[in-house]
Formats: sequence, structure tokens, C-alpha cells
Amino acid sequence: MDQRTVVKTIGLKKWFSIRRGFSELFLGDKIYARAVDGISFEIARGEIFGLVGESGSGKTTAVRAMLMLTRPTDGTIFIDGKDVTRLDKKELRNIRRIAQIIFQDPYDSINPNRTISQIVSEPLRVHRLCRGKREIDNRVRKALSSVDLEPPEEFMKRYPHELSGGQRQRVAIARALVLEPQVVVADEPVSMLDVSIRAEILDLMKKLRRDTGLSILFITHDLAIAMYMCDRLAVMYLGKIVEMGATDLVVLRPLHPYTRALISAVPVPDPNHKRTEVELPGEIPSSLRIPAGCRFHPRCPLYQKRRNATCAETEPELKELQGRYVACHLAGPKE
Amino acid sequence: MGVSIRSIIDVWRYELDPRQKAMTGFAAAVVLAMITMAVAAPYITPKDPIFTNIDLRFRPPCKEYILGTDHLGRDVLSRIIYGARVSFTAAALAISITTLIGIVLGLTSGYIGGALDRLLALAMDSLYVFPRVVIAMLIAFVLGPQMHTIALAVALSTVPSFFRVTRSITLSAKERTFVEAARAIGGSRFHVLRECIVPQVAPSLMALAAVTFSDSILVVATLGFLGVGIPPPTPEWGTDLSVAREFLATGAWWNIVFPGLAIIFGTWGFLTLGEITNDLVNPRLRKR
Amino acid sequence: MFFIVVTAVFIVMRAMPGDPAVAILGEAATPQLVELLRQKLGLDKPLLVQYLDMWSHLFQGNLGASLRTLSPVTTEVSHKLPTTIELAIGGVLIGATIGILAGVEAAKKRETSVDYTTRLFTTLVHSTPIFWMGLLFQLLFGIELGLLPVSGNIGSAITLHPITRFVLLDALLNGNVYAFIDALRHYALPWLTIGLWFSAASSRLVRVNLVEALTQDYVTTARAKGLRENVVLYKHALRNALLPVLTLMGLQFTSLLGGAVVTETVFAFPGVGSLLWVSILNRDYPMIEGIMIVFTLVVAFSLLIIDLVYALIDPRVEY
Repeated sequence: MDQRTVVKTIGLKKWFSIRRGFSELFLGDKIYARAVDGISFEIARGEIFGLVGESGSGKTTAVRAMLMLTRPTDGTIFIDGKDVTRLDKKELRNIRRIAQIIFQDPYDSINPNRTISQIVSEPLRVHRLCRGKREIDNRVRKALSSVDLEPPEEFMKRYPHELSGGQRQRVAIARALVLEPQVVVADEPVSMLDVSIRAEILDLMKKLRRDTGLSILFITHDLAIAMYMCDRLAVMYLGKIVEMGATDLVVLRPLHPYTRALISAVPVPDPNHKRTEVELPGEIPSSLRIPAGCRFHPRCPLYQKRRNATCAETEPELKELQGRYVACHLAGPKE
Repeated sequence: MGVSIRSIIDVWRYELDPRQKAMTGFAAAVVLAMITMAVAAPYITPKDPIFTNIDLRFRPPCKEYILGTDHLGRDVLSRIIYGARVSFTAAALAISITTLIGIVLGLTSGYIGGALDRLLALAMDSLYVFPRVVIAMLIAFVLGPQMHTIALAVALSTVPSFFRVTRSITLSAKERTFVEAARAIGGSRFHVLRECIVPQVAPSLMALAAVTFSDSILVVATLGFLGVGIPPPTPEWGTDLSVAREFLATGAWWNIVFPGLAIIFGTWGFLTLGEITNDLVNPRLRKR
Repeated sequence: MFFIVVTAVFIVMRAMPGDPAVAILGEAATPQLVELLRQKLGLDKPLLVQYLDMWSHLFQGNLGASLRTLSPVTTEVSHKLPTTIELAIGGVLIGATIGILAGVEAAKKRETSVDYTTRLFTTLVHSTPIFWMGLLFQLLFGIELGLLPVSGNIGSAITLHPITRFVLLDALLNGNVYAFIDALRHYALPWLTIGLWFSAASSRLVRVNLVEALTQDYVTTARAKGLRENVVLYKHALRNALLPVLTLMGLQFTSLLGGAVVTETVFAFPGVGSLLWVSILNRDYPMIEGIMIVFTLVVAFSLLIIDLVYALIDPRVEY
């Protein structure tokens, strides 16, 4: 694998089998919720890579599978060159030092029964990386400073419930960084924070990337945030990537009709801007009943117009087109 | 456990109603009094609880026998004081067994899940169907009425419900994000159990233990009443009541009222403390 | 689940120390006599055979014969079960009524003295042994005031032709009004005992759930519509609050059975509860097994009823 790539997935799938009780035993046919249905992407070192999608797109499940927090149903995952799907428990633990995660809910993702110092030092203790309290305290102090929780000593003795949401998220970031990982997954890190705080946290993450060369896999449903943060984007729909490429390209000249609809919904702070919002009919189907062919076609404006048979029969592959990747039969210079 | 103490004090100061505080104080006083009674029994009983004197039977409460005498002329007050010993010792033994079994099984079952959990939960649910009193009665009768067998009987009768609650709070604790975060850091299952689950469930379990303790006191007394408790002449509130029942017609109300009040106070004191502990703990958990 | 419970009962009964045959015949019995009795009781067969026999008997509705009275278990139980059911129903009705009324008051005036007093009272009742309550009532109403009888479920001088074995019903069916009233007088105290005890638990449940229901938006809407507070409370909030209360109450059924056992013992009530007590004291194993199995059936049945009632009341539930 290319040395410049820190994470690479090939055909990642995560299916959940739905138990139907006794009927399952008799009928034998298992129903699966195909939350992640084969996604492939690469993240370069020092890159902020965005995974964008609405709820139900599978983005959260995808990263959980990527980090092996849940067992993938299929696919290969490379982290720092190693195939993590083949590692044993011990080796997997070491991978944890390279790939970390920041969760969405700062009120629930840090242990309410422990001090900030204990929370941030937990990874160090788990991996037995430090000798003695002084070394641990130093590293904790360093981590807290790097997330702008100054002075660190003030925070170390406190408990989570004494901190604000924004401060708690900084603690979560500090904890993720204390092992000096190469890639950090940020799962909607600001959606539960007050809007006024969001910019600070986002800027903090950008600064950390600048200072340490960290890669960030940034998950969000908010395109505006994705546009602000990410170098490259992947748009997910119902478990698959429908468009992937440089942010500017995907956002300014989207090719996939779903991407177009998402982008058209982003408010533009210009009173003269004419809103041409694309409204999609219906709702996202359940992952238990994925439409045949292109999974987006029942709601696709292009399909409504052209009624192309291929759209209803064959799943489109992710192909390179106009400088990015798109999975659509109808996208292209013709259109 | 630093956070528990500090924020519990906070909750006490700011969130509890003064009436609740008064009740807690009162319950604490009652509990303290009863424990003192049990511990200091030999030093504070006015008369010998076992000493029988037929001439003095069925004396109503008077200066010499403050709570009256029973059918054998024994001092009711002394018997009640000593009865506290029996009740609390039995209940204490029982609660130790129950918490040991209940916590170990409940935590394991809830945390590990899978087939083990399903099996255990099914087994416990089957036992849960039976009234506690019936289970305790069966075991106590079969094993013979002695302190340790009674304790065992009571313990086993309270285990299914203790297990259920423990398992349930373990399951909810498991769902918290910081538990997943601990695993994501690379923590082993044991690490997560010790660092995340246990501190999270411990306060609720303490409250549960207090409530179960109060239930145990009741069951011990009920066993005594049904005739499978500690045999006479040992003073025990329940057994004394069953005897008093036979002499109901004599109108010796003091034999019935006072042991009963003792049971009520003992049970109520611990129950209230347990519930207040629960109130102290849970608002903190809900605090954002 | 029934399967598991019955198996559990079987295991517990067989696992208990002490040979039933010895217990029946007494310590002085000769070994041959003991062995003879064991054969007769079927205790000498291998455990697996005993287990299968039990199931085949169960399916035929045969629960064995009492070691004490020698009459079939099913007969004994079927004679006594209606009494216990009468006791339970009466007690539950009284308890539920008091409980609901008290719970509603407490919810209406929560955080006031009324609320705290009610809660204190319910906790006290919960801490009170049922048998003591029964004794107290016996003392107060039976002895001191001489108002109500304290034992049995009907005067011993009265003979009734047993039709349904529901004493109250039979009295009516027999056309014997005097017997009916007498039976009512006998039932009064046990009903009161169970009722009071049950009201403590149910008033708590009602209060908690009603308070929760009152915070819902539909209550605010109802008030905004201008409905009187009582209508809002009873017609809207209470109906919704009662649903979880019902399920929880159903789960309390086992405690109710336990309470019935104790109450029957106190009042010498000829129901299944006191039968169980007597059987345990006499090591009447077939009877104990039989009663436990019946208990399980009753509990399972009541859970089923609760589910049905739930389906009827809650329009969201579909079957």
C-alpha cells in the first residue's frame, strides 16, 4: 500500500441479521439490514476526509466497522499498511494507538465517574506507556494544552459534569490525541454543541492537523461543515458511496443527483441568491428493503425524467468522471 | 468514588425538599437506634428475655414491665430488644449472600450477554414467578430452622429480584458511549468492567442492597410467624407474634402491637434510607 | 417458560434433603415399611422416569394424591382455589380503588404535604408485615369491638350446597341470603388486610405514572381547551397512566399470592394459601408440587389476561 495512505478500505460491508424468532428457524431465510453495503475509499496522511450523509446512510456504522469496533461482514481494511481484519486481539490493541475516535455526544462519551486527568490518561495506562505519575501528568498536561484547556492544572482535578459541552468535547479530543495517533475518526463532533462553539472546535481540529500531520475522517450530515473542514468528501446513500472527490469539485459541480439535492439544501447567506432547491420525493428506504438496481432510483429526479431501464436493474459502479468518482448510470457529459 | 460523595452532597443541599431531609434524618435515627439496640442488647435490657414467671403472665404495660409481659411472663421490651439481634443478624447474613450471588451473576450476565445471559435470565425469571415467602418457607423448612439456614432461605428468596435489577442496570450502563470509548482506546473487557461499569452501577446497587435488606427483615419475621423461624425460646419478633396470635382472645394487645411496631420501624428505617440513597444517586446521573 | 418452571419445581422437590417416606411414617418405621411406601409413592423409580411420569400425569390433569389426606391433589386444590381467588379479587379491587384515589390525589397535589404524607403512609404500609395487619384487624374489629368474625370464610354452623365452590356465589345460588351476609362478614377483614397492603403498592405506581403523564403535551392541550381539571385528570391523563400501571401490577401478582398465603394463615381461611402452608409443614410433597404448578399456571394466566386487557385498552397495540 502507498506510504502516503493511512487508511484504505476495500468493499467494506456490515450487515445486521434481523431475528424473526421462531419463523426464522422454520423458513430459513434470513433478513439482513445492509447498513454498509460495500464501500471503498482511501485517506491520505494529513488529509481531512469527509463522510457525508443523512441519518440512515450508514456512515456511523461504516466507521465503527472500519475501526473494528464491530466485526465487518466483509471487506478489507488497511490501517497504516496493516490488514486489520486479519489481526488477533493483541495486534488489534496496538492498532488502537494509531486510529482513535471522537464521539458525537460529549455529555456521554467521557466517564462521569472519573476526573479529567484520569480520563485523558486512561489510554496511556491501558497501553502501559508511561513510567510513573509524573510522566503521565506531563503528557496529560500537554494534551490538555493542545486542545486549549488552559491552564491544564485547573482542569485535571475536575469532573465532567463541571465542564461545559464544548470543554468536554475538547477533553474527548485530548484523550484521542494523547496516544499520538495517525488518524482520528470524528463522528459528528459538533452536532451536539451550541452553534457558537462549533467554529472553535472545528478550528481546533484544523490546527491540530496542521501541527501534527494528523489525518481526520470527519463524519457529518451537515454539508456546510463538510465544506468548511474537509479536503475530500465521500457522499453516502443507503450504505454505498455515490460520489467521492475533492470537496470543491464535488460541492461546486456535483454530478450525482443525490449530491445535487444535498447541496441545494445548504442555505446560502446571500439574499440575492436564487434558491433552486431540489426536493426529493419520499424518504430514505429502510436498509432492510434496498431498492433493486441503483438504490437511489425511486427518488431520483433524473430517473423520473428518463426512465432508464438500467437504473432499475443494475447497480452502478463507482467510476471516475470529471476528476472525481461517481456511481450513476445517467451522470456524464451527455447530461 | 470522589464524584459520588461530592455531588451527593450537592444534591442533598440543593435538590432535596426539607421534608425529605427531615424524613431521612428520622429514618437514620431509627436505624441507628435499632442497631444500637441489637449490638448493646445485653447491656440495656431491663429484664432477662428468657426468664419465665407464670405468675406474671399477661401483665399489661406498667412501670415495671414497660411493654407488658407475654404468655410466659417474660418481659416484652427485653424480648424486643434481643429480637433486634436475631432479625438483623439473620437479615445481614442474608443480604451478604444475596448481594454476593446477585451482583456476581447479574453483572456477569448483563455485561457478557450472549447464551450465558439468556440462560441465567431464564432461570432467574422462572424462580421470580414464585412468591418470595413460599420459596423461603420451603427452604427454611427443609433445611431446619437455624440462624444460617434461615439466612440462606431468605437470601435465596430475594436473589431472583436482586439479579433482575442488577442485570438491568448493567445493561443500561453498557449502552453508555463512554463504555464504547473505553473499548475504542484499547481497553480489555476487564478494564472496561472495572473502570466504567462498576463505578456506574455501584451507587444504584447500594440503594438496591438497602432496600433488599429491609425486605429481608420482613421475610425473616414472616418466616418466624409461619413457624419456620428460629425456634423458641430465642426472642424473635415474628415468632413472638405467632405465639401472641394464639392468645389473641385474651385481649393482650401489647403482645401483638409492640413486636409488630418493632418490625415496622426496622423495615421502614432501612427502606427509607435506601430510597433516599437512590434519589441522591439518580438525579446526579440525570444531571447534564 | 411454564416448562422451565415445572422442571424447576421438580428439581427442587427432589433435591430437598429428607426422605418423604420417612417423614410420613416417622423415624421409628422399619426399613421395609419405608421401602414399601417409597414404591407406592413411585419414589424408587429412576429420576428420569419420575420426571416423564410427572409430565404424562400433568397432561391427564393428574397431580397425584396428597400424602396427608390421601385425596387427589386436584380435588383438594379445586376446592380451595376459588376461596383464594375470591380473596384475591376482593382485596385487589379494594386496594386498587384506594390506591388509585390516593395516587391521583398525590399526583394532583405533588410536592405538597398531602403528597408527602401519602408517600410516607405507603412506605409505612409497605414496611408492615401483612400478618401483623391481619392480627391487628382481628384484635381491633374481632376482639375489642366484637364486630367481625376472625377466622374461616363462613360460619361453621352454616351448610351450603357447593356448586361453584365460590363461597359467596354459592351462597347466592343457594338462595341463602343469611349465608351470603355471613360470608361477607367473614371476608371483610381478610379483604381489608390484602386491600390495604395492595393499595400501598398501587398508589405509588399510580402516582409516579400519573405525574409522568401530566407532563405530557396532550394534558396541556386538554387544559388549554378549557376542560375542568378533574376531567383532564381522570379522563385523559389517568387513562394513559393506567397502562404501565396495569402491567406493573400484573407483575406484582406473585407478591399477591405470597400475601394471600400469609393472610389465609392468619385468618384460618380455607384457601390454597393455608393449604400450602399446612402441606409444607407436613412434608406433603405431591401437594406442594401440585400447588406450585397451579401457582405458575395462575400467574401465567393472569399475565395473559393483562396482555389481553392491554390490547383492548391501548389502541396502539395490534394483534
